[in-house]
Amino acid sequence: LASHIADDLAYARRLVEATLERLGPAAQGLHILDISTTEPVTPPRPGLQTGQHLRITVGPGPDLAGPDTIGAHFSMTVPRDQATLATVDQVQEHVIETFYVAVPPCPDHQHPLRTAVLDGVPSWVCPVDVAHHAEPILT
Amino acid sequence: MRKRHRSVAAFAVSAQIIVGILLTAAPASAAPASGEVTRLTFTVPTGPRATATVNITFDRPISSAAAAEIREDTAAAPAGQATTVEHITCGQEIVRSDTQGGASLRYECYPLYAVLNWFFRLSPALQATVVGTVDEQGASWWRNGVEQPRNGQHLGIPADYLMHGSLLKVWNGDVVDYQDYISWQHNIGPGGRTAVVFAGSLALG
Repeated sequence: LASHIADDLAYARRLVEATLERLGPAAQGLHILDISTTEPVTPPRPGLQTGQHLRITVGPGPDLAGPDTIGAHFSMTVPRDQATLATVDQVQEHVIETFYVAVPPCPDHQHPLRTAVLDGVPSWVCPVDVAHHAEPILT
Repeated sequence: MRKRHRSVAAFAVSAQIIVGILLTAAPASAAPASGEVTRLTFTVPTGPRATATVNITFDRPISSAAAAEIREDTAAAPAGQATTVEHITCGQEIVRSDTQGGASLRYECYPLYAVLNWFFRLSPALQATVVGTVDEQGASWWRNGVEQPRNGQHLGIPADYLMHGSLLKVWNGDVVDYQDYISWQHNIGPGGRTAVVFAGSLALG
């Protein structure tokens, strides 16, 4: 593997592991089942620039398919903070929709935290008031 | 564990969605005899200035008469529509359908960014051809020509699953292209695999 892909693979694994842990008990039965590069798609029209992605398959296992399983994508060709938010969003949405839980919980509020980049750091933040709660996604 | 279950009414396919049908199959086990075929390829109009190419292959050879019938049925149904770029403004939702399925695109604007939320569901007629479950590749999308982080992939989902995703962040003035690929084992004739590609372009703002 090219060194940048190996670096992105390691980062994506650490990111999804941290996300699953932060999502709490609802995500306890979910694990990273596979991480692999994706094949480039044929764009729908000429002139579109194709990127490179990793697919992190997350589910109860052992099968790589099924309604409780998602292939979250991590883009290796957009700025890392953007790629980070997109991947975390996919995992979070999957857990929320699969288990009907608002996670990770926003302290003292009923809604879940959402992702945002704060001062260049991908973070979990209160969707109503960032000053109320913010924490880095990766510590 | 609570399973996700969606029972929303059929969505509509956007006007600029291109729907190509590709029925593929495992390698044919027998060479076609005279008067039999294993593949059909033809082009159907999809709008004033656009067409869609339909490729159909089968696990086993079928008669030319059966192939003609399938071709007639498939060509009679609009496979998609023009690939023109359509404008969408803040708060607008585009909801349309064709024989392949239904889709919705909603453009939501916030103070610092905007997002396109999309939904897609196979039509009941296509759902009826599904053997087992459906695989969704996960929507690819391009913002001003550059591919963005792909949406999540879902494998082994029910035929009536409401596929959905969000394209963010986007802004007024952007041109967004999107494409997703859905496939399944079909029960048409001797069987094979169907692939539906939906794609389109939107100018925001």
